Amino acid sequence: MPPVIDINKCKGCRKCYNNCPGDLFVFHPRQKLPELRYPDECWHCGTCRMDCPEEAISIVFPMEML
Amino acid sequence: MKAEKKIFHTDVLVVGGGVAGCMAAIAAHDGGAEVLILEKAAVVRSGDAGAGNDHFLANLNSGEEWDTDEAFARYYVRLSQGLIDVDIARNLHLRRIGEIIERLESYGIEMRDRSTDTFIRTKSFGQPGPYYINFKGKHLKPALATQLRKRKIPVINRASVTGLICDGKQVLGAMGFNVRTGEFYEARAKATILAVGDATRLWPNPSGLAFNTWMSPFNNGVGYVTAYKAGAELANMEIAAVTVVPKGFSAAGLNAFTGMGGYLWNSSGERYMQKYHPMGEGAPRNTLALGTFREYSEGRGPCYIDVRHLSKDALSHLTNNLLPVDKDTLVMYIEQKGLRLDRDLLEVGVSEMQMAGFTGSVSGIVIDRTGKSTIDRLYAAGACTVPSFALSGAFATGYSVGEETARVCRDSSRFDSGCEEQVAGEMERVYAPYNRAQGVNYKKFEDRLRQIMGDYVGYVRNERGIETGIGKLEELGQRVDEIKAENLHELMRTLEFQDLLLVGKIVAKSALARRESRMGLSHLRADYPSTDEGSFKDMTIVKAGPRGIEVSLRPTVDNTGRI
Ligand SMILES: Cc1cc2nc3c(=O)[nH]c(=O)nc-3n(C[C@H](O)[C@H](O)[C@H](O)COP(=O)(O)OP(=O)(O)OC[C@H]3O[C@@H](n4cnc5c(N)ncnc54)[C@H](O)[C@@H]3O)c2cc1C
Ligand code: SF4
Ligand code: SF4
Repeated sequence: MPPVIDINKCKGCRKCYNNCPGDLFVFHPRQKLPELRYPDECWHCGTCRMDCPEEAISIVFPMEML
Repeated sequence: MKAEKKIFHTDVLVVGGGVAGCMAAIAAHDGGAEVLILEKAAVVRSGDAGAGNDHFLANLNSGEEWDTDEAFARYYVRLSQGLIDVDIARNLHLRRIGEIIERLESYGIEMRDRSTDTFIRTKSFGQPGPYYINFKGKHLKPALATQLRKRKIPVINRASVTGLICDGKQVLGAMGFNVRTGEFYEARAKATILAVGDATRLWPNPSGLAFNTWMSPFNNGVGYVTAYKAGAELANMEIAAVTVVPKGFSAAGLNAFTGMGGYLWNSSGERYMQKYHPMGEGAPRNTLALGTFREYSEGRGPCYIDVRHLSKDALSHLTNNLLPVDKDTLVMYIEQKGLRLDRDLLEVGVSEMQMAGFTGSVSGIVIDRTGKSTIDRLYAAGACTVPSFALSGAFATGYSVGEETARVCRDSSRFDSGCEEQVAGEMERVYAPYNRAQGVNYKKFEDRLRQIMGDYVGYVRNERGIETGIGKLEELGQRVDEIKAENLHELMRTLEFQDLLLVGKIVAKSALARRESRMGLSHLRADYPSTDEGSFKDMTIVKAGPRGIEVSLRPTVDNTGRI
């Protein structure tokens, strides 16, 4: 589960959904929440983390990588 | 699914809005051309440099002997072992470096150290002097995106290009689809620039995670494939890229560690690189990868990078200004491993293989001094071309090629119609995996592709193995119609797999033709273990012929005498 979203901090701005280079998020308009739909395809580039204005995303490396 | 089709006409069509694509669009626009960018992700963070880069390769003519254009050109040739025409590099890249740095500063990218107003420069990878400017490149893509917006250059994000419109003699534009809306795009242009970067995910990943790649896992060789299908030439496609990375995380950053003076140790406590190169850890990248590979395969692993001996200031520069800029998450990774660089060693390993347009890379689309491919009206820039020279190469060649296409468009009023059947055929091909009633997920096929490449066209190759691999790739190719994409995201990945499969075949056929070993693990033939400067100081050239992939050898143009 590379990026982990703190839904209490998320304000639904869509930046992670818009900027992820891998198209890995989907956005649920009714709940105004992003969801990381394809965690296996994460590059761990940090874009979603860096660009989130609410600092709601942290990167947690999977155990195969540690 | 019945897709809607949108048709565009423009002067210059830029395919891929990475560093080279953005620079090409800016230059073409400033040269008076109408421009359109089709980008698979979103220009603000797409491509190899999307989340930041920290080293800008440059000579600055400071008066030192190693800092001249000539010395830099000699380094370029040495690193690429003469397999490129340095005259092309000189025209598109070298002569423009100073001007590009000024341009980046005008875009708000901090190239100098703020407190001293000078460039911080370090040396690695066999450089004769400190050619790497350490700069603040974390937000270089947002800065380029701002420049596009300022100029009102139209960009379509999430537009994945799948093919070129080509009448057999010249390229009339490109086709693709939107990975979010499903719309089909037919974009016709007076000149088309491919700036789609490298090809990853083609070989097994040591971590077992296919997207844990050194270069962007979202660049999949569409430039090589579309150029090849249009009849253009590719060069040296057997020469892959391999590097040394933290064990488990295929992250960029090696140049930061070695540039700051890091040591590489094996498990016996030996600084092993000194056995392989007089410059030790300062050796070229492919020598570092080969040395590390030998240590592991001969039982002297695990290997480690060590920066504990650096001064406090140097360590702080490394961990604050370099590592987190080049790979945003690397410092977090080290922390999550429970390590501290001032106290601990960091285990390293050999990366997966990939086709990467990194410093010294020699493989890709063949271009001339103007950036034109061997097909009319098709240009290319950045990591998908040969020569290409990492970030500073992408900035400079992108800009040069953009300027050139604007110039060409001024003299041309041609917007050709035609090739309608080709467009209809591409539309059919693109949506077929989505429209299929049932089938297998693309992942199974992509895993099989990597398995074949690793087993037969991997770190160590031989003739029998490569031939076996080609047979298995052909068999895999006969089954692609079994893939079913459940949604547009999977459709994008399925089409990427199809491109990767063709790149795999091209790599294998080229690897068969180069009966020598060259550049460490980039092309290591167990049956021809030596480098053969006599017969093989040649480019392998790939072209589509009547019998499929045709490979020939072409002597390189030796322009070093002119340096
Ligand atoms: C983490 C990292 C750190 C690096 N650090 C350095 C460094 O410090 N110094 C250095 O010199 N080099 C560095 N490099 C290498 C450097 O970033 C690249 O060589 C350079 O960015 C290549 O630029 P490019 O424009 O050719 O390709 P990219 O910037 O990768 O652009 C390719 C673009 O094409 C798009 N694309 C791909 N397929 C399609 C398609 N089908 N349709 C439409 N668009 C498509 C991609 O989304 C992408 O935007 C680093 C690379 C990485 C990954
Ligand atoms: S780390 Fe990068 S690739 Fe992974 S989800 Fe975030 S933006 Fe996407
Ligand atoms: S960028 Fe942050 S605030 Fe915006 S949608 Fe994503 S998680 Fe929520």
